Amino acid sequence: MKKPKVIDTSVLLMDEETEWLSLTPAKRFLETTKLWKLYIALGGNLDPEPDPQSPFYPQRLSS
Amino acid sequence: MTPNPILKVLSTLKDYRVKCLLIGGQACIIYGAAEFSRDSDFVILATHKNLERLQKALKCLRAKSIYFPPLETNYLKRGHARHFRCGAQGVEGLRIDVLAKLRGCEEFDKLWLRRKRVRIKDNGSIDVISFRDLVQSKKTQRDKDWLMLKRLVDNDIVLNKTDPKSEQIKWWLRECRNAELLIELAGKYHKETETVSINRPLLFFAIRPDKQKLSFELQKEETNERQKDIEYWNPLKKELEVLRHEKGIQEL
Repeated sequence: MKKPKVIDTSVLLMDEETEWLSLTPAKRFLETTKLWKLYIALGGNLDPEPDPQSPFYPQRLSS
Repeated sequence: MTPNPILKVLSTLKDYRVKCLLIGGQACIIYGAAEFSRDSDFVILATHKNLERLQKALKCLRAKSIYFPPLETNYLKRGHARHFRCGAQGVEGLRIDVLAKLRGCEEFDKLWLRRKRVRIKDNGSIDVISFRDLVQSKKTQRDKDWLMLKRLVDNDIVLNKTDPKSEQIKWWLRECRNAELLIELAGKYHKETETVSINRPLLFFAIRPDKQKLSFELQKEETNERQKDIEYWNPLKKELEVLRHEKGIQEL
């Protein structure tokens, strides 16, 4: 049996991701508020993108 | 305008004491797999009383139905989803999706018992589906759900790799979809891998290790699970088609 290569899992995560994961769940949720602020300021729509893979997609009646 | 429209929806549901759990993209944010999502999805307790409360909350959010079927317990209990679009100030256009059943997951009562309560500064608390139930709920027919599932499990392994309990290792071995990580886990935790491999034979390729075959088997496993989801929704979609013909193509 070949010996498995040991991987340093920390390299699987980028720095930004590590930073994001180090936040508490509540902090992560509050951080998204900043993104919402920016998103809305840039004229972003709140309606989600149509998702053709969703099982609900063909049942759409109106937009 | 409320900076985070999801918070407005959550606080409104709370005000009307709707028994529900946050799922989907927002739950993925809570658990670190996503940074932003416009999804506002909930699994709810399908009782008349709770639906009455939900109706009141939706009225407050000026939310209108955009899909069939009607908001009734019998539809929800069979697995149908309900979809609404908000019209109130600060949440205009935001969609709310509501389900009472998640394919492959246990009944609401069990999900509720395992829920995670997250306290948000100045905004009370949010009841979120448990981490493991969220992972289970992501085994759908959609690419984006599998991407999230993979991230959720990978992150959990990386964050908790120091001295994990045997039960946690077994869960990783059951749920991990990353060939490299599975090989690493199998190399470290022989006993757990052998135990879990009885129900997940693809782990033999992690023990060997054979990354190519393992990746192929992981893909096969995913395809099977996607097919199960399609089969789960097919009769529900047919039922919706019948309803659509009966009621005509117009908003409810």
